[in-house]
Amino acid sequence: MRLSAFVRMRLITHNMLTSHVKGVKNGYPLVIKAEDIKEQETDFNPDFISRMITRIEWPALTKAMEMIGHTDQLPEEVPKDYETNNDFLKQAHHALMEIEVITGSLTCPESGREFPIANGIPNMLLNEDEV
Amino acid sequence: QCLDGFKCKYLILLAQDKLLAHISELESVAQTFGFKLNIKQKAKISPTTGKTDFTKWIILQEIAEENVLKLMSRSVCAMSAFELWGSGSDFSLLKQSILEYPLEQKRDCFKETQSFAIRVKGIGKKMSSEIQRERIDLLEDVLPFQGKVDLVNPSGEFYLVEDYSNRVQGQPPKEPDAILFGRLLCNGQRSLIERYSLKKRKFIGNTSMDVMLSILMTNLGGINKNSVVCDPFVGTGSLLIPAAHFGGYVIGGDINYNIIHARGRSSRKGAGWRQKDETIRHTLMEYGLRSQYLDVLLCDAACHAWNTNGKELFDAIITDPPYGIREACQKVGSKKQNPVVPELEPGLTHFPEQTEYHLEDVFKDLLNFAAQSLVAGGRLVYWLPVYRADYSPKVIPTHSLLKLMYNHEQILNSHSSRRLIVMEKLTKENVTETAQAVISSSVFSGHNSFRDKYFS
Repeated sequence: MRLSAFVRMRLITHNMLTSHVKGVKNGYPLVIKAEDIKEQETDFNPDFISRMITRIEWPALTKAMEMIGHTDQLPEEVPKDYETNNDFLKQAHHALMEIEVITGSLTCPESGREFPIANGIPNMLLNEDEV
Repeated sequence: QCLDGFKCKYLILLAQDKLLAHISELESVAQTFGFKLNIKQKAKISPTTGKTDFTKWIILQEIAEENVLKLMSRSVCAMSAFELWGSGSDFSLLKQSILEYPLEQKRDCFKETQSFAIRVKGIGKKMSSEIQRERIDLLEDVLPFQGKVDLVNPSGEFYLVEDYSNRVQGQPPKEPDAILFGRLLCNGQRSLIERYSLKKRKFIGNTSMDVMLSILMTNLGGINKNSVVCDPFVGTGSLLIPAAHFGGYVIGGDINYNIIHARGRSSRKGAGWRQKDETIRHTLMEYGLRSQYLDVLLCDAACHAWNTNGKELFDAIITDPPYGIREACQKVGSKKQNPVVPELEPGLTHFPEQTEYHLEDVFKDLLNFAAQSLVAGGRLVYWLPVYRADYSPKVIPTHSLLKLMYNHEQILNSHSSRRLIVMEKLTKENVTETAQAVISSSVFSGHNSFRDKYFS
């Protein structure tokens, strides 16, 4: 079977997700436990990345990179000239689009509830006793 | 190209679809590209029913040719665009009109080096080849072409269009209501319907969206290059494919484990179990759109996990929520008072119990989600099922942060239809953050509210 048939969770998606467990006030960002990570090159689109910089939570992305052991790859803060800073956009592109978690879990930082990632698909369903 | 100081008019021939959303689509595409449309449209009142008939063509004025090309690069409702050289209610008026069209605008086409073809098209009536030839001969004295005729690959392609669509007692009228003549500029995107045909697609589901309608929804949603598009009821991803085709980045969620993980039986008759590659990512890859795929997750629309806390994530939400006919409306929940979730061995998946998700809540949750997660000016496009006898504008869900842009009915059968609803997110000024969606009618409340009527 071709590996490309699998789906994987990217860090851009991690950045958009939060814990929605009842009663949790501070469920963001979810803690990544990665058992299997792949890096796959994807087309670099600076316009798209620059557009996403205003929508994503930058600190959550740098944290996510730390969680999967890729330290010192991203600047602490978004540089002011990010729209034209191609080196920065390339780094951001790599972090957001090219790192893919295949197996692992996302954990709510407050309640500890674990959301498994199987075949690269995060299972964000709550259980029937949690809704 | 239109010469300086002369304002060209453009004729757009429209495809004959049952859903009359042509104008909405063209307006939306124009807005996506940042210009406004000035449509000169012939209002047609049917003599038998008194209702306004479908529009078969429109004329655009005060528009740059490059903007016409932009419209056609996206529209699935428009068949072809022409530089209009003349029009009239009969042949002598048409010829007069072509003669009056500035010579400097026509001259290049008449040159000896330019091959040409004239084609004749009847709307609402088939034109025999003799009649076609007769018509072309009639135009000879106003069209002094010097070049050669080339029917296969001409440098200039001209169309004579006669409109017989205003039928009288089921028959086309003897004389056309309008005769139009123009130079073909380009065609619209009808060919995408074949290219993305569901018949040739491997991964489909029970409710995979018709390709033409999914392209239409993408255009109504204002998708452009680099738009982020979310479908919270993603299923097999049929609504995301055109969005990816037009340069959007797509993401989705679904509560159905089997669909998301390529398990269970295929919806295709006789195809057996789903194969590993029946995923949205793989489908996009086969179409050469892999770079537009973001992610798909298992997610309950009634209790979503998107971080909308002060964050505007999406440029558009395009979706077809299940309404209980071919796909059940379900959310996580239990009928039991205190459901107990069994302890599982590590590595095993718990499948939470599901319970019915009332349509009223489906739509309220969807509008609330859109109001939270769309950027200002972003659009929500979805289908609302309606038992036709129940319909009044009151059944359309509202939200103070979402403005209703379009509402088009597609009739499903004698008693039911679905409405294509397009809403646009307003800026947050003057609206409280806690604003909630409202449905002023009770038609969607209760279990199986639509299904029960549909099958009654």
